Amino acid sequence: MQISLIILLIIVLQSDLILADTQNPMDAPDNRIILHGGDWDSFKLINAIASYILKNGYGYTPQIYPEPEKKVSESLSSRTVDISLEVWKENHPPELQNYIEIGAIIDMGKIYENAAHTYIIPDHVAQQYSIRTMEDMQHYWYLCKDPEEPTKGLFYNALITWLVHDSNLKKLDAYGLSPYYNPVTMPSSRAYEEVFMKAARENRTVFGMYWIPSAVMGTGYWKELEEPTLPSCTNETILNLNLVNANQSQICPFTSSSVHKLVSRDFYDSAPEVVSFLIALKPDENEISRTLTFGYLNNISDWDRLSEEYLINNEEKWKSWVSTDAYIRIKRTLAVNTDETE
Amino acid sequence: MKIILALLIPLILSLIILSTIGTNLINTGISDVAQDHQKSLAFQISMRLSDALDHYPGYLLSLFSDMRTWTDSNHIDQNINQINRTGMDLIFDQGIGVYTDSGKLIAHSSWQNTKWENLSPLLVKSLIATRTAQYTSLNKSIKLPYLSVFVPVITEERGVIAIFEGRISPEYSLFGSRLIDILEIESGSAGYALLIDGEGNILYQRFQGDIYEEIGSKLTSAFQDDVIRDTSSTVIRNDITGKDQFAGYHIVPGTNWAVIAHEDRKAILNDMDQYLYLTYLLIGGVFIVSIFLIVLLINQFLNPLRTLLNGVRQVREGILEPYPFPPYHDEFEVLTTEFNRMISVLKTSFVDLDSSRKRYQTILNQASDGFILLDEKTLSIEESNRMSHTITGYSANELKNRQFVTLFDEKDAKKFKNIINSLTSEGINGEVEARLRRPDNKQIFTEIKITRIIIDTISYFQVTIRDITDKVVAEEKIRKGIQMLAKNQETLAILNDQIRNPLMVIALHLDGIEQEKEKAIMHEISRIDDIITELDRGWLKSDKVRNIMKKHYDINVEELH
Repeated sequence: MQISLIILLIIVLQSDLILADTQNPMDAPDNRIILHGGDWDSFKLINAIASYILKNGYGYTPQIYPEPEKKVSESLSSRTVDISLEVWKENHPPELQNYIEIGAIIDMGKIYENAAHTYIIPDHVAQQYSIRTMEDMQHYWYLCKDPEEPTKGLFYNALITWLVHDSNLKKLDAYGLSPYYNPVTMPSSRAYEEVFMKAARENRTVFGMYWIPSAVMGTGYWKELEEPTLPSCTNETILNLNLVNANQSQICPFTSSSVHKLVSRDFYDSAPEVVSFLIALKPDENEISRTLTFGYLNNISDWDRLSEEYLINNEEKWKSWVSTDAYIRIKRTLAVNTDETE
Repeated sequence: MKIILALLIPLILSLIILSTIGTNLINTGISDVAQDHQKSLAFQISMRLSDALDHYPGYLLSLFSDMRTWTDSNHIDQNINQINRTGMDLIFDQGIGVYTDSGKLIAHSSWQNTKWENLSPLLVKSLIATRTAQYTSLNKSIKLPYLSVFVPVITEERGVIAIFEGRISPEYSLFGSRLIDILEIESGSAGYALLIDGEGNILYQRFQGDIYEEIGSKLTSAFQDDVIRDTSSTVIRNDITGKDQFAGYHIVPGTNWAVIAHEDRKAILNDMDQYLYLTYLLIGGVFIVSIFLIVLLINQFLNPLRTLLNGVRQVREGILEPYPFPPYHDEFEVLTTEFNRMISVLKTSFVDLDSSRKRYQTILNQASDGFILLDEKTLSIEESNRMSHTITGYSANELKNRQFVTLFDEKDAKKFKNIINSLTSEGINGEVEARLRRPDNKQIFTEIKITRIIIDTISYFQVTIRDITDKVVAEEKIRKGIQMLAKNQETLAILNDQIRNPLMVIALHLDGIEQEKEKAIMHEISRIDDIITELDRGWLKSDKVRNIMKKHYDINVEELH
């Protein structure tokens, strides 16, 4: 009796495995893919682009699962989410790298080649005053006076909860700017963006930190300032993925950030065609920034609509990410949606 | 095993109870400290906010430093629309307005498309009365919510001469950036601080720590409860996390705003938690020590005790031999040695006792009377000696627990019971002769003496039983002999009277008769008389015998007749 049950169980399991191997995701009853969602625009856009491709090209049902950035290690390792497309590895504690090293999370490589945090002032101001480096800003604090303390300038820092917020304060000290500037902590990411976009709109002088890709940087209004390399900052510390977290006393210039695509181990093993797509997925950060700027200026808050905008304008780029069949399906869907919009 | 359980179960229960009570006490203490800390935190933040808010009315007044020109609307418009140069538009990003002391709108900025109108009389009255700046709640009726700060313009001579209004977007203005910095929780810890207005709107919230970022929106709505807003300074419980969590609440002085703040207990109460852990450690230590003591107790006390119990059990089973105890080098050594010594003494005593018992048993069994011990209440036989078995014809086992009266005829049984009753009521020992029926149905005569004895406070009847069948038979024979003797005597008496009297008559009639004949007759009469004399002597002897027998065998003279 027991042997019969075991044989029956094996047959059932094998039939399931066979079905799973041959099943088309288009026909699968539960073909959801959970994408980690964040509260910054570039992440929202790249998630929308990937979702569009996965849905219309591969037949999956992508779902965005918003979670705090700091929880991505846990979420991926436990498969609460399948994919996180924009992981700024510098912002994470060593646990993330540990998960990657033991294979619980698979690193699919960089999504942007030149994503980075950066210090910016209006380009025309930089040209007018020949401002090139952060240290130069010691002399031009009066261009962005603090109305509450007019003897100092304003430096727009990040949100209080961001790790880079504290790093910026240390850098202001290190670059000799603290005596000249009062840091402004931003209450929200919307306000943060609005400060810089408003400055670009009204041709005002604002000094602060921002990042690429973003709508702000897509305006072309800004000049990225060079950071000095301090003696304490060696090549080794620059390469340290956890520079800020590991030792905040070591202040190094922002370099090209390690913004990676990560997937869970189970997902990596179960969806090879999606893995191929994810490996190839590598949009240009400037294209992303321009699309975000387009959305901001045209007051487009629908990320699906904005993803279509990107796909329409960057067809040659994303064509190389997907299979031929997927390309045809996505292209057809884009055409139908565009016609409907028009 | 029972002893081990008896020790372990109370110990574990005690530890659990102690742990629970101790933990609860410490947690209560920690909760109290945490509550006080949250209150203190909310108070400190509200004080810092109050200090910061003091500056903003001054910024507004600084825009119109020349009081002589405040009534000149053109000049006011010029001032208002040139504040971009001062950067004040970064603070009052939603505009600036100027009103008369009656609340009539004189001028306002035009860089934001917001609605302007005269002030409510109530607000004007309040501003004139208090002469201090007032911050409003959030105006959410427009797309971009703002709050206002109203500042009365006061001169020494004329009092309130005008009212300024600065409109601030909490999210987008520099004002917000400053306040978000002030809503700071202690660096490195986890917690949150919220600034709410008089209507419960969240103006700013600052979370520190992942957990709060996750629950932020729920927490926000929870803190809009009326109970919180209506209480001036209190501690509330946060049900969002499902844990006992408290938040301090404090009104920001000079406003109807309030601060709700919480700092994670683990972050602020490390020391207290250390005490808690120390308590757990102590409890754990006590537990381990207790286990050690129990093991020690088992090895040093329970095992020797168990061995000792085995020795006792051996004694109980009747084996009076020294028990082979292992060597103990403590008090148990003394105890076991004394135990074995006691066993030896006990054994000697038992041997002596048994010897005594046998001697007394032999003596008792040699007795010519039967001895039977009866239970006082049931009259059943408890003990009996060998002669009683011989007399009754029953063995010891057959007699054991047998009702004594069943040995006798019913008529004699009644006599026996009467004696028992008189013995019980009057304490007089009794004696009776009774006919006993033996198992072979042979009837014998017995003489029974009953006395009452007490052995170890228990009352018994001791019965001495003697077989008097031979005596009774002899007595019967004697009685019959006496009867026969009496009859013979009677016959002799008759014979004497009826022979001797005629002889006397014959002798009287011999006168006259030949001498020889007379002599021969007299000779014969003498010989007959001698014979009768001999008979009289025999009678006398018989009479003596009869009297002795009567005397000694208690035979009535009447009976003999």
